[in-house]
Amino acid sequence: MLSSARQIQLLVGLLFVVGFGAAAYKHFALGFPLLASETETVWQLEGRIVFEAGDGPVEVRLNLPDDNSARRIVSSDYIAPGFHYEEIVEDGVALGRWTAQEAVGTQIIYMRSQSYFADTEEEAEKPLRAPMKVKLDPALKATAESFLQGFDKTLDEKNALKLLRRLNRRGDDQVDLLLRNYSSPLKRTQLAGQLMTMLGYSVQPVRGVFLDDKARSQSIYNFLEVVVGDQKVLMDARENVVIPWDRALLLQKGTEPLLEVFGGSNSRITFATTKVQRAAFSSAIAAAGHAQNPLIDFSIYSLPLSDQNTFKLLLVMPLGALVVVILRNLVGIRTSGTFMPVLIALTFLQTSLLVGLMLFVIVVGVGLIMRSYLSSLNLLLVPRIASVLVFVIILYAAIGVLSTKMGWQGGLKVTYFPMIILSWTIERMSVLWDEAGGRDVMVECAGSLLTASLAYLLMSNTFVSDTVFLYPELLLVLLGVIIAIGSYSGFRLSDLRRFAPLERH
Amino acid sequence: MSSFFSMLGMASPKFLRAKGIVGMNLRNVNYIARNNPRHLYPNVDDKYKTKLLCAKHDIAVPELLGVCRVQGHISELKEFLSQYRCFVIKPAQGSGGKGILVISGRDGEYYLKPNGKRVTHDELCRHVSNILSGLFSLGGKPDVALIEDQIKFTDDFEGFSYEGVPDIRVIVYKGFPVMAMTRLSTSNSDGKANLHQGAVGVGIDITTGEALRAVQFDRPIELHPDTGKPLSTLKIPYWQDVMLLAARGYEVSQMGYLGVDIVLDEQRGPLLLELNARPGLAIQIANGEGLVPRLNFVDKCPQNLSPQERVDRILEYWN
Repeated sequence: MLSSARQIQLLVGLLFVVGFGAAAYKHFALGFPLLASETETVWQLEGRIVFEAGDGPVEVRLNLPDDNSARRIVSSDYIAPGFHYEEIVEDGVALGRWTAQEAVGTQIIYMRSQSYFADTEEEAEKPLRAPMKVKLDPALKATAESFLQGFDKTLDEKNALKLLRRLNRRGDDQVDLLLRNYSSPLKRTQLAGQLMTMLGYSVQPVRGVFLDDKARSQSIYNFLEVVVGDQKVLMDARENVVIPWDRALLLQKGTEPLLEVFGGSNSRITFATTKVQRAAFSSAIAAAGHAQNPLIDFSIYSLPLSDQNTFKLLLVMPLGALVVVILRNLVGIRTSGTFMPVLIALTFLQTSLLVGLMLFVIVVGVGLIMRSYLSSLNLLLVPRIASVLVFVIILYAAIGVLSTKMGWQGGLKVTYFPMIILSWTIERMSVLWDEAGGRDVMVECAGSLLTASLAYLLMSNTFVSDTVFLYPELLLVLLGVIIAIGSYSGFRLSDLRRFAPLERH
Repeated sequence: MSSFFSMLGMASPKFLRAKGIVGMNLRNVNYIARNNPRHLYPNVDDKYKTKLLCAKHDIAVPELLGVCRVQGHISELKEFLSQYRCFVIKPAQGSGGKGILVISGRDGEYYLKPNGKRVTHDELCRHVSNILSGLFSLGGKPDVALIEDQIKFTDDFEGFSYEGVPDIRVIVYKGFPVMAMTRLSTSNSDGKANLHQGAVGVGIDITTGEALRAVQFDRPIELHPDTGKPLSTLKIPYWQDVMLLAARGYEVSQMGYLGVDIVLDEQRGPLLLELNARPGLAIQIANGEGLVPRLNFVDKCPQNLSPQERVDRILEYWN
């Protein structure tokens, strides 16, 4: 068996390693930001599917944006009354599937997906899933070959764009000939892809939407993914430009279908895109949760938002406890009740510091006067504390009403004070007053309020509280520090002061 | 560095370490936590249990006149107390001298405190009621009130104590009495021998029982603040008996780090007043010495010696 000092060293070391390790993992692997104040852009894509249902079972399949390390899906949800929804993966393609046993008339399904671009470099390096093959009838192929003759055979971005420009030039006989049967945007893009493939480019048609803020009723747009050198670029065959990866959201790649409706007809899909600014950490949390990372899936982030806020408050309490430990065991300040200052500090979080201090002094001061009268009534202990409690509540009401009448809303915040704790505090201080005199009461009161104020300053600091909320595993580090202080056997500051007469005489 | 600390009115840690001073954390971690098993605390925290244990070990204690256990007993107090002129009422589980009421006389219907203040019977009953409700016990646990005979202390303390019983505090480490002081009540301390409340602490030479130096509120003083008597002339009588009684406190409590409080009765000699599992550190200021060298000496001594042998070891070493 190890000695207890050794055990403490090991335990503290372990807590530090696990705490910092988990935090580092979340930062480096899951992309959690260092600061909670960092913001980033999240794109919200809203799809609106409209179709006429036949009188039978209906199945709707929509190709969803892929979730990968380049683009992280933050959340996805839908509104489709009467439909059963599931997300499936078929041949490596993520699909949303809505099914209903029976649907009649015009049906509307809304889907919503939020995503952000984590790493566009990575997207550019991914290989094409299904490059195009040349599929032209012989006559057209001959026309295409003669069309391509004048082109530079070097494969680069400039030459590829030159081809697109030529293809879009109006009044060119050769182009008109080629486009005879390719009038729709989709067909034109496909032809551009075919021609580029003939030149030797590796090309894949993709469909998606442009990411424009507040763009309503967008329809699906055709793009080409073209490999140039070792990089993949996204080209717009109509505007002859290269589109940056984070300007478009791709839904459908290669030959995947975008929207399939079985048991219905006349289906259309339109999209709306919105730009949303949000804290960087919430995207990281949502993305990790979406990917069902166990570290996130079983953390407080998996709780409903309102419960998370409760925990946000609970998570800062250890900081208050640390302040108490430091002030009591390293400094040697006397407080009334070990963790009462932490509770007071929690109250200050609701009332703000100055208002809180004022209300505390008023309630305890008036309570002490009331208690000193009660002590002359010769009551039993528990009824006496209970009457102090009742008095404290009456005092709360009085402060609340009076301050409101005088036009000061701050007084209402008195209700945040834990009244039972406060009643006990009044009782103890009153006894201490009788036993040891007013000086000791003042010392303890001042010690408690100092501790509470310092704890408040730490707990109310948004940098600190956000960091703890982002990296709750740092509480293990905090635990390590507290355990380490627990085994500290050196002098407290108060010892140094207390034994000072020894040095002087 | 040391001037930095003295500027702040503090001693430098280096000096205190050289002196062998035990600080709060060191006491709690190294001495109390290691030597005082938790389950034995009730034996010393509950003075009633301590009294029973002392009786078992045949150790002299102030006589217990009665115990008030339930609120119903309070109505019988008047009749019960009428037979005694002087007595002390204390909570069995009080700490730090809280809740101790000393009655040293009567004035008609009234009881008199040592400072001459009158106490009505109703006030006394309320005090007992508070004790039973647990006002003075740790965590507000319901308690019982002990009624003890008041000590008639010896003339040797004449002029050294003001209106109260002076007691002798001995730190007993693993059964060895290592450091001692006497606590003299003052007008500040309301007749109580509690240093927090302003009693004077006088360091006692462990070998002879003679006064070394004195402090009040942790500051050195020469004369008793109320009587003006030079404190350096104090000498505790029956010193060997006091040491032996303190050493036997270890057998009673089984606590390795113990404060034994002893009073000297005129007729009965040294009596064990109470035991303390968390003795304070002010004794080091009163002695002008740190505890560490003495505790280290005890750590090197063999265990399982008899109380007399342990006292002899200590006397031998410091002579």
